[in-house]
Amino acid sequence: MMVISLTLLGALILLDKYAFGEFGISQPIVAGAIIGALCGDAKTGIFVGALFQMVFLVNLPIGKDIPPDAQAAGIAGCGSYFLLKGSNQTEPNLMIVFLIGILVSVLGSSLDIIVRRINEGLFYRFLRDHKKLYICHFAGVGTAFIRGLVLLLPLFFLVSIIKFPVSGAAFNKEFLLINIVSLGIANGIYLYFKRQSFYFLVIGVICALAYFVF
Amino acid sequence: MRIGLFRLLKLFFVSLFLQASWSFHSMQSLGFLVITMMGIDKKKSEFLSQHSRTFFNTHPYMAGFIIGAVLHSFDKENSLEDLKKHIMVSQSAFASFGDTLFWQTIRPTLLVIAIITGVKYGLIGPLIFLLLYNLIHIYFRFYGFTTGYKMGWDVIYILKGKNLYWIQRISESIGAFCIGLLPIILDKGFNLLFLIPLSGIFIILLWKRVAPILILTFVFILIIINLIFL
Repeated sequence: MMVISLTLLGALILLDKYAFGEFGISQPIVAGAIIGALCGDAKTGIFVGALFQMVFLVNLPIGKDIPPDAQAAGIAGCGSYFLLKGSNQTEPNLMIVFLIGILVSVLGSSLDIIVRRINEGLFYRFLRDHKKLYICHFAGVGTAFIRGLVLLLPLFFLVSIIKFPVSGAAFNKEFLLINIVSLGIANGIYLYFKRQSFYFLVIGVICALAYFVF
Repeated sequence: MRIGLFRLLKLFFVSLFLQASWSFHSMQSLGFLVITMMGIDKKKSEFLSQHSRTFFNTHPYMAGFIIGAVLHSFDKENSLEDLKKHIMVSQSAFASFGDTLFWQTIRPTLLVIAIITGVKYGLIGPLIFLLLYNLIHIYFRFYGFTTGYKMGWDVIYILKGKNLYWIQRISESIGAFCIGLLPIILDKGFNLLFLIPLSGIFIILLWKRVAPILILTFVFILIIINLIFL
């Protein structure tokens, strides 16, 4: 039941990526909060979502570029975390969740390409019959939703039946976090490294140092 | 020249589906046609037959400026012959500006704020992100339709305005400050000395434009090395 509800919720959230609205609901940290709230632990959902958010901070869908699917990664990662927690009855291994998310981000971008090819077919159908403009356009929402189902349903089903080893949970958390925060900082510096914003970056670093010292 | 509230709301709602049928060949063409057809009252079939093959791709939050200008041309009964040329020029300009303003500045800045406040204080982080981000982009969508409709094709000059430049500058400064502050989400007991060399390596990889999947593979290799040797 949880697999089905997580899949449906995930596929609906994934519509926000481009098919409807782009309100930011599909961003990993927000999706993590929603999935966490559904599973009764919003704070952990936010934490797992924040990890994926830092990894995919520089994720720019510019022009025809299809970057790794950060949104699907966040949903798959958070959903898997709570499924593992429910089925394995132990603290889920963050590294496995992270691995699942990264694999889904690559799979998601491949599925994106397939969906866009299907949408191309819809466009040609419209060219043959102009009366079908609205049907062909809004059918795109359906293809995006099916993409979410195809991506998430097998994954969540597998995660719910496979028993993962849970060794080294404490180690994983510290080293994984330092790695991901480093990647987040690198992503941020890559985005904001300009002369006028450099001073603000330095002020931020000083404030962070003050936080750790005092 | 005003667009009318009902028409504006209708356009806004349909514009939420602009990218629903995004494809490599036509990109947002179907979305553009659907929104424009919703906005015009006459010459619908003429418009469709003339523009069914019009290539359209711009930033989704900035599309309103262009569609507003198209509707202006219709309502003023201007010649539709130059429409394609205007659309081609303005879509690239608004796409480039929107990508820089939203994808590269406002969204990451608000996300970094959400990460810090979310990890530290819970739900407040994602809520702050949703509230501010949606306020900004919904405002831009409405503003786009009304301004595009009012100014016609002169709407492109809005990109030269100082206001947008300042929004971008302030957003960048806040984003840079928050990136400096990002390590505070780690516990005080963590060994923070790793942060500096690791961030340095990732920055070099990003600047060298290494594929994201290779960077993620590198993270895995680091974790496995640490697992085996440390």
